[in-house]
Amino acid sequence: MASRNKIEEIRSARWALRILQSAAGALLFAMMVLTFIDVWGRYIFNSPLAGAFEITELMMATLIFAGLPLVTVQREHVSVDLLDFWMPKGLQIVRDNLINLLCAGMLGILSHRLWLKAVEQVSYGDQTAALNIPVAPVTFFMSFSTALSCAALLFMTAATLRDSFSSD
Amino acid sequence: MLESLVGFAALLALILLRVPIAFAMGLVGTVGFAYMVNWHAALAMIGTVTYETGLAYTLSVVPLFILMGNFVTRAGLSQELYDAANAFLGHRKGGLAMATVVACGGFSAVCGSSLATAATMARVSMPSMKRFGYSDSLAAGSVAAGGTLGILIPPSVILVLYGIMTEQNIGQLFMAGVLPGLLGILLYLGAVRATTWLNPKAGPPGDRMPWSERLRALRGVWGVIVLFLLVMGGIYGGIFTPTEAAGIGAGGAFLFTLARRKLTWASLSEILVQSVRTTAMIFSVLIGALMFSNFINIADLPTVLTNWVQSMDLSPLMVLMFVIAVYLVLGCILESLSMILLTVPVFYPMIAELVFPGVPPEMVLIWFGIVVVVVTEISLITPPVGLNVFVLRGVMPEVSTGTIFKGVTPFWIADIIRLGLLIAFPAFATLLPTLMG
Amino acid sequence: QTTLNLSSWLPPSHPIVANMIVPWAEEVEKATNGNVTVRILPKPLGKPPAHFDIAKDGLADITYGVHGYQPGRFALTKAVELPFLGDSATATSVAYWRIYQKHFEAVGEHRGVKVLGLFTHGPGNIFNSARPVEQLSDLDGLKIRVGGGVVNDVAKAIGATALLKPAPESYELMAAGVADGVFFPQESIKSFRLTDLVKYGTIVPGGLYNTSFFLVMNPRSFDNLSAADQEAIMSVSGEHFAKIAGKGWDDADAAGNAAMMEAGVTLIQASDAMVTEIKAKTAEIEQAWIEEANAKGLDGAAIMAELRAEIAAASGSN
Ligand code: NA
Ligand code: NA
Repeated sequence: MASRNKIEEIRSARWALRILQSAAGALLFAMMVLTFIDVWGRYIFNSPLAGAFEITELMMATLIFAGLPLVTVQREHVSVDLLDFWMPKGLQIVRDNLINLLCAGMLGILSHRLWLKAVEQVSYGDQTAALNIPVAPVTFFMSFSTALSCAALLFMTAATLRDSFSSD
Repeated sequence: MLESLVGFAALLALILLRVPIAFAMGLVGTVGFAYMVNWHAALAMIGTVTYETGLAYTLSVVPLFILMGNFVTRAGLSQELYDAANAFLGHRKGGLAMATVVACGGFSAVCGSSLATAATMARVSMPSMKRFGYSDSLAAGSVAAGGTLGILIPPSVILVLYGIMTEQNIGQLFMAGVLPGLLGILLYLGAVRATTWLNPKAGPPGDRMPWSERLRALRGVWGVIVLFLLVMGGIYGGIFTPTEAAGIGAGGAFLFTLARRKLTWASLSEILVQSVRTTAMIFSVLIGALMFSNFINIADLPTVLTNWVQSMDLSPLMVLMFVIAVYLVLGCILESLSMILLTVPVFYPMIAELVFPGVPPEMVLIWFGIVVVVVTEISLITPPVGLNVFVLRGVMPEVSTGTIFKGVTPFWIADIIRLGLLIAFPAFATLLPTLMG
Repeated sequence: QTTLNLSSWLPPSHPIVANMIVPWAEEVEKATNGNVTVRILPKPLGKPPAHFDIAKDGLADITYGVHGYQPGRFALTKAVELPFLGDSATATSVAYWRIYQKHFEAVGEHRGVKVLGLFTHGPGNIFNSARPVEQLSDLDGLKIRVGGGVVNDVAKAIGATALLKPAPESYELMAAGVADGVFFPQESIKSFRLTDLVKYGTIVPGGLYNTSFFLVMNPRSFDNLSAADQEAIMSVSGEHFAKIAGKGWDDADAAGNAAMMEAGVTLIQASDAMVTEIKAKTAEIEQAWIEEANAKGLDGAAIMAELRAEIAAASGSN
């Protein structure tokens, strides 16, 4: 928890999180409205929205990955604290930092792979079926937010380490 | 085969070391895939899985059903459900706990998640059970167990994921969950009754309401009925698909909350962000599970398992017992979502091949889906890892986990009875979907 | 002794798997004297649209898939999806392979994979649950499920209300009454279990549209094989596979037709007037393809003429 507050002490990080939150919330709301309009438009006026299906897909990906850094910073990833009761506090801190580094590493690799995927999508010209929207920007965003989550974990680890050294 | 078992062992070890489940599954899945194929393919795999899971149209039901549940909570429907149930049941012995169970069932009809159902109903029903001197174990047990109904009574996020994984009709799965859900309510009422019979002090009766009060309280629940009929009626009336139903349900719940003047900019924003965070958490687990299941797939576990069962010449019921035993054991340790995501792809090809007494062939996977959800419900309340119990501990930190698990025991027995009934009489699950075509 | 993994996203009973992939895999094993076996994975390694990349990146060694599932990536392959190319999937598929080798291969739309085969399904037709479609105006107000690509353009051009949804959702959409109909080859009515939902079918001579498929392999997996095995595999792939696949579709169409007859679906032939009407309204789709091909440095109009001639020739030789 302490390290999370540290992140929010940084102005730019606070703003980044706030922007992500607003964007993701707005996207979810828009997705709901889109389904609403699509369904009733089709039912009452016999005119479905062209491409509602693919816009929903693009919005989904964006909102999930806007949420990823938020979940990471809040430490809301599901984990099991079954064995914590017999693990000494000091060892727990070491373990938590190691896990943070492991997760950061995985997120870093994933971010890189998503970046490569996006570059490849640009070169193939991949787009959606009905509205011909290029898909690469969404993949770039996925890569970016994964990198952001990685950076947040690294920062949180560094902050705990600094705390434990300064308290010694 | 051996690779898969080593993979599962490594996964459990990482999870017990408290590596977040999503990352543990992703790590073992990637390393295992690299071992079976090569690193180039494994690294490409994680990019592809992540990208395409993010862009899955059918999965858009997940955030939207979560959003619907959050709106409904904000609208205060949970309180009205509880008041109504209380008006009818509160004066009985254990009546407040019975009302909790019934209200949980009602709330499940508009909320797709068990955790949300348990958390919401705990806030509503705990204070009055405290006031009337209910034992902590009965009070907490009724909420924890009642909350599990959230994933069985439609709408249900877990049933949607099961339907997508096994290519079953989600509308039919929803219908199949209705009767077992009602059965669950009845058996849980029995569990409350049994608890107070064993220990009358556990649940003293509350006030008796006159019929005029009861009828008035009943008027409060029309919102739940309207929303439930909107979602299920829309699916069966051919107005929208189950995938779209989530958006309609969320939209309806939003309008409802708005009409009740329960929505401010701040609370709207909080609801949206909370739903996004839950979604991102679920999808992290989903993406990790898909990486792991790609490894299991290339290591050929499902085929090996199917062949093994065929070679052993086990009867279908024996196979089912074996599967259920695996679920009960895994359910002690694993969290419900990852348990479903990991095991269903392994088991369903095997189950699909079998003929069960009383189950029409086209209904086997629908019925199996309900069986899986019922055992998953059990996993939510079994120690040591019972997520509903953890949720309650968050809401009422003063009650110990041990007390809650003790209070849950009669409900656990009720669940086992329900599982037995569901297997002995598959019609509980298959009747409604068959009738609805 | 090599085992090649094939990721398959359709159920084992589907014609592509049962009539095409499995027979081809057996021929591969025979042609390589048992050196190479093809193992179909119990579950796909990703969703249908990912299957080109799944072979390219080597997740599996071999995959099949639909070009139209990745819009923007393939333009030339749309040539074989245009209306009125013929009634035989075998002829279209054989002609497709020849034209691909002659004109399309060099353009490199399939870069990153080894192309083992290309094929199309049988002629696409109009199916619905509301009324017999005898002229295009009968389509007014009908919501039709279509996939992406050319069929979507065709649906728009002839005035249907197109619902762009994944094919496996067809049953759900029609059962719920969200969609009134589908554009499908006759085979798909059976394989997507629509026989009881569809009441009327209009068979369009020459086909309202087609769908273009690929069978591809990871290039490194291919290079790792001995030259003899490579040659053996190619001897049962390419044009040979186009014949297997085309025949597989044609047989499946016949089975689909029989299933519809049995279920009492009213099937009518589109009249000459209706065909003329469709031709007029879809002419610009073919023109658009020609321009796309021209932009890639090919002579689009000449290739279309050549494709039609090859199809005619292949139909004659059957
Ligand atoms: Na529910
Ligand atoms: Na458990």
